[in-house]
Amino acid sequence: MFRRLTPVVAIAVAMGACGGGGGTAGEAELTVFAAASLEPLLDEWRPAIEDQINADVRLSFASSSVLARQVVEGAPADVLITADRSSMRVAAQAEAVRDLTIVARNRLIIVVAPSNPRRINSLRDLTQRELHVVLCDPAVPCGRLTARLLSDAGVSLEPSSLEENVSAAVGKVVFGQADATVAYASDVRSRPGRVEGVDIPEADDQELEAVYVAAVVTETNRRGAAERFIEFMTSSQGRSRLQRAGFLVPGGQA
Amino acid sequence: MNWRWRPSAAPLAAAGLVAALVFLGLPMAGLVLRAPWSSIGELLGSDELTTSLRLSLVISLSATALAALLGLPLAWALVRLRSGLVRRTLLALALVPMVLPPVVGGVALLLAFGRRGILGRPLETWFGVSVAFTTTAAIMAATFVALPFFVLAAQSGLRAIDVRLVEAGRVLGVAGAASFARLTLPLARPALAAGAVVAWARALGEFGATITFAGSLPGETRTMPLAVYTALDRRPDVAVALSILLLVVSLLVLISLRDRWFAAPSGDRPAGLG
Repeated sequence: MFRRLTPVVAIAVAMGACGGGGGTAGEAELTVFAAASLEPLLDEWRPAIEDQINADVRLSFASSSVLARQVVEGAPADVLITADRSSMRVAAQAEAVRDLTIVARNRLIIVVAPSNPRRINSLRDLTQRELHVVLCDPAVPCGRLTARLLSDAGVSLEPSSLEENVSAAVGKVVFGQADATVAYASDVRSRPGRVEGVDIPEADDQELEAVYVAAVVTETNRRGAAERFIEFMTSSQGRSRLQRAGFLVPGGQA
Repeated sequence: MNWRWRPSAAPLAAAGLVAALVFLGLPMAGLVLRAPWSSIGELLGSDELTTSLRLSLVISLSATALAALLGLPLAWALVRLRSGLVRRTLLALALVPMVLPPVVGGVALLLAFGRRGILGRPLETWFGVSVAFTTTAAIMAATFVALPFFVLAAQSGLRAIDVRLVEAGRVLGVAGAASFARLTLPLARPALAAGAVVAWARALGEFGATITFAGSLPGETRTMPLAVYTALDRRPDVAVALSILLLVVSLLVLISLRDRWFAAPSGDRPAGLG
């Protein structure tokens, strides 16, 4: 009996050891919870950030409200970046985060298939009956901004679907299931050749821009690395990288 | 076996049992304890909830009917073929949606029936027909994931039919389609019913394939599970109320099935082909 158990025990011990090893490495690891629209940028940028802040970075993406709730409920994050102020406010009011910093803004844009086959040039063009237009659900930041943009512009749309996050909305256009959606400028920039953007003059308004707020999670034991991460994003090097990815960067302010 | 180990096994088993009970029971208790009982009637009567409830019923019942319609010939062929490569291929094809992550099923449906899909594109360009973002698409997604559950149950039901009864029917002049309709189907009815109930439950809970293939629009494709997901942020009360409703439905399904789905067919039916 003992003999038969030996391999099982050996494997269990080995796995435990691996787990322990991972734990030790984890001390040098910074966990960043970031809004879904930052995924293409941060995935690509990560090696450079790791060099700069001298720590391994682990990224987790979801919609801002989901991330904020997870942080409030004690998820093991060190940095939280939301795509809106209100999600961050939820976390700040629960005292789950501190040191709030605006790192970038993002402007709404119409997303269409490459070379714009349906000739969509304005918000009003989206109201054509035969088009399938998907929007972000008003429960998530991009949907909230889009709803306000449409009502300010006096355009009423009949969306085919209200998507749970901005990536899902853009994905519907990438797959050709939808003809258009309204998403962020950075979403178009990060998918060259797969979608195209049509500028929305009505969206040129700070009130209608997504505001990316970064904060240090209160419970972190990686405060130093977390602060270096946020500092790097707002450094001149970080700002130009954000700009190249289609984001707007705050002029001068930290 | 080493009998000396037996006494010490009992406390271990008991500890494991307690752990299992806590692991399974606590989430259910969580739903029940956190439910907004004082306002649940009002919440369940709200437009948002009744809309998704009605939609979920339409979609899951249609999907069950379709799964039965498509699943019965499949199950029949699987019983007839008995063995061989064709049977194994057919079985794998019929069961793959059960093991496939639903979101992958949604992508697959998109590539086949989506507006740029293998069949979807010609359908739209030639006939102007498109299922994109319609209740039909949600029914297709639910059927896709529910079908294997019906096929499995129907297959075992058909297999368990006493072949002597069918033989006797033939002697008495009941053969072919008539035999299938008047003998085979009634004999397999308990298994078919159990299959339909399980398929319906799976269709009712479908999420991943639906949100990927059909999108999420109230009144059109936003079924109860999708509504739970959307409401989770803004209105957690609604999400929990809906979850309670789905939990009650799930328990009713289990009670209605009793042992039909889980236990091997025995007792009341003579085993023939099995």
